[in-house]
Amino acid sequence: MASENMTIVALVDDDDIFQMITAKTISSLHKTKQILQFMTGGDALHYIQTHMAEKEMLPDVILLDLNMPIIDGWMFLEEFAKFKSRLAKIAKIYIITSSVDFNDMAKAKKISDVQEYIVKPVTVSKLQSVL
Amino acid sequence: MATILQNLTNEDSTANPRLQALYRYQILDSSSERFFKNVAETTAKIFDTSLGIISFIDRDHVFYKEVVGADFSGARIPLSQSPCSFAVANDNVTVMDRYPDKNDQSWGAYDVQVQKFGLKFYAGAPIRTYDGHNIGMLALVDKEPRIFTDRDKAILLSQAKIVMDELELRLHVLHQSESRFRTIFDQASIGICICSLDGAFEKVNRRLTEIAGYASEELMELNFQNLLDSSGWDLISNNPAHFASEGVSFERKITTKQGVQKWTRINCSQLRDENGLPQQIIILVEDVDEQKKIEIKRIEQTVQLAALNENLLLKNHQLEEYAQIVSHNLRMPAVNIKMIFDEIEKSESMDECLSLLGHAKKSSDKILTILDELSVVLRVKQTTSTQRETIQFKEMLAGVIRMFHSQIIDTDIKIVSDFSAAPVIVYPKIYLENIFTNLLSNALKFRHPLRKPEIHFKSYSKKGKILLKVSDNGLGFDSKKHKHQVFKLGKIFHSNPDSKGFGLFMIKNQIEAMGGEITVNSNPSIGTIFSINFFKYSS
Repeated sequence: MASENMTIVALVDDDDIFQMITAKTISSLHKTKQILQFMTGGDALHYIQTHMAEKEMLPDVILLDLNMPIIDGWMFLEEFAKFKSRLAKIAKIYIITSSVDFNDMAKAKKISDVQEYIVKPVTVSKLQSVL
Repeated sequence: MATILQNLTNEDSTANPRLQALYRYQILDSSSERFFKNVAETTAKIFDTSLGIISFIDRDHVFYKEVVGADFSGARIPLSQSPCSFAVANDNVTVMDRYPDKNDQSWGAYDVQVQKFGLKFYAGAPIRTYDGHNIGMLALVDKEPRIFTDRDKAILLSQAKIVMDELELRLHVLHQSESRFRTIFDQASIGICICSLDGAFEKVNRRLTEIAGYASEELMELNFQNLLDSSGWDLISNNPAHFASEGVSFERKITTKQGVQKWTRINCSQLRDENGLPQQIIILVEDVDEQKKIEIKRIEQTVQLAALNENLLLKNHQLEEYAQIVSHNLRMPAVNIKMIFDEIEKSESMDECLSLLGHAKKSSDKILTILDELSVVLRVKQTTSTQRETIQFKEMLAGVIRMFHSQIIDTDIKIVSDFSAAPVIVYPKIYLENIFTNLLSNALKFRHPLRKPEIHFKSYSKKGKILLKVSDNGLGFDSKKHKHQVFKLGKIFHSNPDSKGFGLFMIKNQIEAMGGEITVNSNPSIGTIFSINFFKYSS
C-alpha cells in the first residue's frame, strides 16, 4: 500500500456516472495525491506510454473496466504487458466491472498483472483496501 | 436303301427317341477329342485299314467326330453321301466287302467318296446306347476288299461299346453335376437367373421368384430389364468390369410384380463360349432391402443428429451471449442506479441530489433500451418460420438505395453491385432488408475521410449455397484484434456519435436464425468485407 496522500490512481472506464461517483468517493478518503480519469482504454495507454519514464506522473493503482468501446479492458491489459518492463513504476491493476460473467472472472484470474477482480458496485471499504 | 434313307430323313427330332437319345450326349459338332481319336486309331490299327471313323448320325447329316487316316474330322455330310447313315439302322456289324458294286445303282450316291478315296471295303458297328438306340458308327474303310470274319465283327462291336461306355459315363457325370447344381440353384438363399444377353430370362430359381414376386412361369415370359430401371440394366449389359475377373456388383432397387421398390445387391458375370464371346449372363440377386433401409435410416439419423448438434452448439453459444448481455450490458446501468441512490442518501445538497437523479434517469433509459433491443432479437429467435419469399437481390438493393437517397447524395458514395451469379434468394424479406440496410448504413457512417466512399455488393453460389459479399473502403478496424467484440451488442469500434452497436448484432441473429453465418474481415488500410453464407447450416 502506498503511503498516505502519495497514491496516484487511474480510473479507466467509459461510464461517466461511475467516473463521477467513484472519483468523488476516492477523494473523500483523502488517501490519494491525484486521480487520473480516462474514458477509454486507448486514452489510458496513451497517457502511460507518454509518461513512461516519469515516476511521479505514473499511477500506482489502476481501476480498469472491461467493457469499453474500441480498446477494451482485455486489450488494455495485453498492450500494458508489452511495455510494463520499461515503466518507471508498475501500477497495481484492479479490474472493476459490472460483469458477473464467470468466463470473464476465469479469464482475469489467468492474467498475472491483475490483482483482483472486483464486481460493481464497489463499496467504500473495498476502495479503501486497494488504495 | 432308299426307304431307309427316307425313314432317317423323316425322323422328327422331337418325337424320335433315337434322335432324342443322340442329343442328350451333346456330342454333335464337338471337336476332336483324344479318347475317341484313340479308339478310332486303335481299331484301324487292329484291322490295318486305311481309315478309322467315329460318326454320329443326326436327322439330315452324318457328323464325323473322328476320322483317322484322312482329314475330315468334324465334317458334316448329307445322309445320302455316307454309308454310315445306312449302316446305323443295323444292330449288327454292316460289312460291304465288295463295296462299291458298280452294278448296283443304289451305291451311286457314294461315288464322291469312292472316287476321292478309292474305297473298296466298309465295316461298321453301331454305337448303341444302353437303352438300345443306335446313335452313331465305329467304322473301318479300306482301299482293298477283304474278308471280315465273325471274330472281327465281335471285336469291332466291342470297340464300339467302348465308345458308348465313355459317352454313358460322361452323361452320368454331367447328370450328377447338373443335379448338384440344380439343388444349389433351387435351394439357394440368393436369387439366381441365367439370361440371354438382352436380358430375357432363360432359367430362374425359386428364391428369385420370391424376391421379384412373380411365379416362375411369369418370369420366364419377362426380361430382367422389366425389374430394373434402364441405367441399372446398362450396368449389367454394358459394363467393362465384365472383363475383370471379379465381375460386376452393385446395389439397385428392383420393382416387384406388386410394384414395390426393393433394394437388392446384384452380382453378375457373362457366360462365354470357348472363343471368349459372351453367350449368356448369370445374375445373382440378393434381397438387401431391410439392411439398406436400416442403413439409409442410420445415415439420415446421423445427418439429423449432426444438424441438431450444430444447432445446439449455436443455441448454447447464443445463450452465452445473452448471459453476457445480462451480466455486462444490462447490469452496468442497474449498478449505476444503485450507486446513484447510495450517493443521494449521503448527499446533503438538494442541487447535487437533482443532478444525481438526472443521471439515474439516463441509466434507467439505458436499461429500457437494452431490454427493448433484446426483446426484438428474442422475437427473431422465436420466428424461424418467418415467411420466406423469392427476392431479387437487385430489387432489394434498389429499395434500400431509395431509403438512403439523401445520405447517398450527401456522401457521394459509389454503389457497385453484381448479382449475376446468384440473382435470386428465397428468404424472409424483412431480414434481407435489414442486412442490406445495416451494411449500407455502416458503410455510410464509417466512411474514410480521405477516400471516395465505395460499397460493393456481390452475390454468388458455392456448393449450392447462396453467399453475399459486401465490401467497403471505409475506416475499417483490425478484425483480428477485435475478434471477440465483433457482432456483440453495444460494441462499437469508432467514436462515431451515430454508432450504437446494435445493427450488426441484430443482423447476425437474424442470419443465424435462418441457419446462416456472417463473418467479417476488416483492415483499417483497406476497409471492411462482410461475407454472408445464407444457408450454411440449413439444407
